[in-house]
Amino acid sequence: MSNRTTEFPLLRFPRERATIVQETAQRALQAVLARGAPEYILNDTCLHEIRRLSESAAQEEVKSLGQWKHLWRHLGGLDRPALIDQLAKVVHGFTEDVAGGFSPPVYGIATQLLPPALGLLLTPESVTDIASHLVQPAKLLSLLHERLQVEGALLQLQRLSRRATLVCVPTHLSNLDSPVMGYALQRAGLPPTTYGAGKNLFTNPVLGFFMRNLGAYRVDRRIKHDLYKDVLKTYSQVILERGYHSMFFPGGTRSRSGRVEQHLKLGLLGTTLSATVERYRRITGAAAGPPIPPIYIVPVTINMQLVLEAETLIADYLKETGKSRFIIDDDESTQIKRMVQFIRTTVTHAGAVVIRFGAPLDVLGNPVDEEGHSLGPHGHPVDLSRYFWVRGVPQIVPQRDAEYMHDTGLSIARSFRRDTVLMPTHILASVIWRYLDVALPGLDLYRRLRQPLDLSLEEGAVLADIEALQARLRSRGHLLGPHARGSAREVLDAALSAFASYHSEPAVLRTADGKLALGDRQILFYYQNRIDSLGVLP
Amino acid sequence: MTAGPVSVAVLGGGRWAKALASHLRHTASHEPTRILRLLHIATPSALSLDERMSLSQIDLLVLAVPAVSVRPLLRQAALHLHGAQVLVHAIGSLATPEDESTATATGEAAHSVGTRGGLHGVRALSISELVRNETPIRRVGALAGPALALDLEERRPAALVCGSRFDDVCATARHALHTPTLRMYTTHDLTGVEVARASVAIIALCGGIADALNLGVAARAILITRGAAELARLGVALGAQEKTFYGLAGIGEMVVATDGRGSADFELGRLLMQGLSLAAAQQTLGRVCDGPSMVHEAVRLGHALHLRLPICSALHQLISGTTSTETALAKLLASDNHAE
Repeated sequence: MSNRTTEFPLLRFPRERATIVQETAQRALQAVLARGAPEYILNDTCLHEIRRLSESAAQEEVKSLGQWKHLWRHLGGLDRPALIDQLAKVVHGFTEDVAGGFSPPVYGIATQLLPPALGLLLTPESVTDIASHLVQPAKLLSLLHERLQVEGALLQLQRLSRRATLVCVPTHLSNLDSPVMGYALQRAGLPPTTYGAGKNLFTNPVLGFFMRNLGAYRVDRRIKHDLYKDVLKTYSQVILERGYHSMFFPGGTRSRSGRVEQHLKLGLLGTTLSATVERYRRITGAAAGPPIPPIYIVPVTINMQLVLEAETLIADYLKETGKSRFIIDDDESTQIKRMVQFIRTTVTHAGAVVIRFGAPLDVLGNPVDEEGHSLGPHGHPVDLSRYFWVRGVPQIVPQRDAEYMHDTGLSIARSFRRDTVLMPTHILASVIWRYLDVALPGLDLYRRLRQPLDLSLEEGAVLADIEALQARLRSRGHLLGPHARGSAREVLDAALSAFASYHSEPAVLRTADGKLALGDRQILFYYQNRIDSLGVLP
Repeated sequence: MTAGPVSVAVLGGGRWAKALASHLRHTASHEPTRILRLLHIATPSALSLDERMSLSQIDLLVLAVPAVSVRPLLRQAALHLHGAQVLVHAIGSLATPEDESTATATGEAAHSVGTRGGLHGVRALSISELVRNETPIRRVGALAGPALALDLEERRPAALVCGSRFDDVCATARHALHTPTLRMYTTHDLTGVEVARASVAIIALCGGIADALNLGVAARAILITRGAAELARLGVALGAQEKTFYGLAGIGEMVVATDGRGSADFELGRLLMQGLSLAAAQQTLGRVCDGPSMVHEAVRLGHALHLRLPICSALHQLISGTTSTETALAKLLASDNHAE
């Protein structure tokens, strides 16, 4: 547990918020004006907003539909100073909408409440006896400790966090990931981070209250115009430059398929690079301003035995049209009944969740040594600042930097594959899915999911396959989580019991005659995708 | 960005490297505002300390050594290279992902890999990837196109395309190399340029065979256009853009390589048709040929990637001695008609 709760950067946020908003708005305005004439930018923004608000419901908008229409109609009559003034107001409005907040008292309450709440969430047996646990919170905490494991390069990260800015980039499976990460950071002895959360999540009054006060800033994924992207990026860059530890989910959204994310969204993450160039510009005197601490990217894998929203996510993935559904607001995490069911029955085994902090990377995706120095090929130290030189002076070069970020994305994706911790549910699903492949050869995925098939498998054969897969995963250096590293029997039992404990229909089940049978194939597909995405299968 | 003069180093002692160095020297003497300094290291296999130290002062490195020499050279130089530098290579080959000795031991890369050819391994590693893996340099490009050493030496019109994901690599290479006689074009399709350039050896080899059989100009035209289409399929499967194969790096260089001037693989094809075995032909030639290993690797990659590569397959059977010239030709001509 952190002993540094009195010194982390977010505590400064309430004092700095107004300055941050002002600086962001000013810099974003410059960025926006560098892209084009104010009338065109305003026109584009107004049209985007008018279309968006005509098609979907308003959610605490910067301007109402009527106000956008009014502005759009009057653009033609405004002279340049008036246009810039309007643009500045719009930029400021979006900046205020994005900017987060941090309340130390709320943080204090949250850090007290979060562990027992997560404990309840992850220990189903405790729910049946809430009263006794409320009387004995220590027991609940110890259960949580057991259920949620935090591992990785923690000492190095703790040291780096004292003199550098950490940017955690976790894999994303569930809406539980944000609170789980909040708790994991605390458990890892790492400072809390600010992070961009979907604006739709803020509509939940309880969640919204906590997020608004715990450093989360709002990202409205429905807004597609460039002005908004400029504001978001500038905000992220400004807070990074000011040393606020941050968190991005580079997958952009929860993994619909259950696969480990490999195609990452690098837009906001690119602000780590811009802030780093600004750091070197200030060091070399090319730009004025207070020193900026170095920035490190920390890939994190969130590994869960069961995923709360698995059924909705995979169903959405399998719907051709659903693949573009970016915001899901009707999944299991929004249904109290399902949440309670998840709480009651989810993880009946220890080690249900493993949060693994990977080795930190510099902004170009290079590994760093204990002290944070960048390492090139063969572990030789490299001078990071030189990558940004233009005739000896560090400068932002958008095309170059986008290509650099592309490589950083590949490094993060590699780290995700390497640091994914596999659970019994993944292993069993992968093994059983191969039987489906054999039983239904030559069929496409959709037919394989629907074709009637009465598969009855001998336990012995499945156990042998589990053992072979464990050996293959080990030989390729993949990490096996609690129970997954045990005997094949242990894996089978843990996975069957986990599948049976939560999903409407288990992916695999044991029949009365002791054989194994197929259950919900979509769920099976979802869990087997984890291993499939690692590219280890023949 | 590259408005100022740049320091350039050419690494390589072959004719192509010397021609590039001479071209740059000519530019430097006439336009000192473009090239501040030129360093030509003709024996990069054994870099002196001075040479290694001076490499750190270079803005643009031009690598033109045989592919087998690339890894040892980069390892020697790596500590003196840094992230502000850009590197372009003029090597028509893909490298091995791991130690070459392993590949050679398996007999899969028995032919030495020279400056023109050599796709190894299903996970073929390009020279640019090798540079990334071995040095701190991130901004890498590849040169390819219809430019023979002879053309550069005699200042006859020639053209190169620089492929790089980075605009500033293309701009720097263009800034240093472009002259009225050497036109420099640029593309972001680095993979395309590297694969197209490496594929040329196959077409040159085939061109030599066709020439020895006196098949005529139309056969050469067919070979080039269908060869480009075939290798474009391979390139696209490896992440390249198809159009690159129909441009300077593909068809442009194939036209030159099948012309009979200066291509070792073209000569090898001719010798093979005189009845010499592959080994005897290579010995007679005494020059580095990458056509055979390229053919072998293209077929292997094609198999792994489920691609139809009729020219490569026929050539592969021919040079591995599993079929006669007549049969190989007949097979090629009898292959199913396809929409072009």
